[in-house]
Amino acid sequence: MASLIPCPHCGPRPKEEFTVRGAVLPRPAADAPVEEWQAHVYLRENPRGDYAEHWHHSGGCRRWLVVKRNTATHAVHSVTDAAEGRP
Amino acid sequence: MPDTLLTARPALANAATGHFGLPGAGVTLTALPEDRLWQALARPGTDPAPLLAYGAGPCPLRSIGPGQWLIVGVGTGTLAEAQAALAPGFALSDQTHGRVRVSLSGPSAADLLAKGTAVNLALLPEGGAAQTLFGHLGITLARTGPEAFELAVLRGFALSLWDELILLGREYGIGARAA
Repeated sequence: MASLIPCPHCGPRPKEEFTVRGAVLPRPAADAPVEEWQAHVYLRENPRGDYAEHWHHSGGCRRWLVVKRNTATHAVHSVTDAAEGRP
Repeated sequence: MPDTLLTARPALANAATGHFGLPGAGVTLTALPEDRLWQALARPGTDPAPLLAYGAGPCPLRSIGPGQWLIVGVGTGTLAEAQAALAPGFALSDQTHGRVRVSLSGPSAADLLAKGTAVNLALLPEGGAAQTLFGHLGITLARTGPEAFELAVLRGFALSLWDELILLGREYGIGARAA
């Protein structure tokens, strides 16, 4: 199986066990203008290179993870729990 | 009055049994009794020690993620008693109706499982568990002995998993039987 994602809770697992939500982006303020919210919800870069995404380990521990990877080489730089460092 | 009377019967009551594939018993597939399967969730930051101590009794614990466990097998006491003993750090819910367990044992059991899951079985210790996919089916995989595993699967998928395990086990010789 290609594309093993090293889940911090479960160990290396194939990408088929995960569901990708999309890029990790700072959330606009609740009263931000509608254009800013429109961009936040719909507009995405499609970079060739390093990218940070929210992945859900839906077939495993069911935790949300932050996967930092390279879209060109498929190298996975780091995988952390999305709740890490939050209050 | 309901039109149809609901009767409780095991999910694998009509499953295929007997010997399949090559002669010899490389793998034995057994349906386990649907006796107890609880899910335990811990509040964030809770010390898991009380639950682990509870699991040291007759109810083996299957760790399925951070702060999540399955409590399986025969044990004494009711869910309410266990919930009272483990409150307020843990929440228990009865999933006995929702998941079915089967055991897979024999010298080729690990080889068979490796066809469906990417979990490194060589690193799975006895008593260890992993929530994973077997093909497209979500299972809780646990090692119960050097050559013995237990699979817990959603009830509606139990028959599919059963038939798939038999198909994958034919090259080793597989005996399938009800508990």
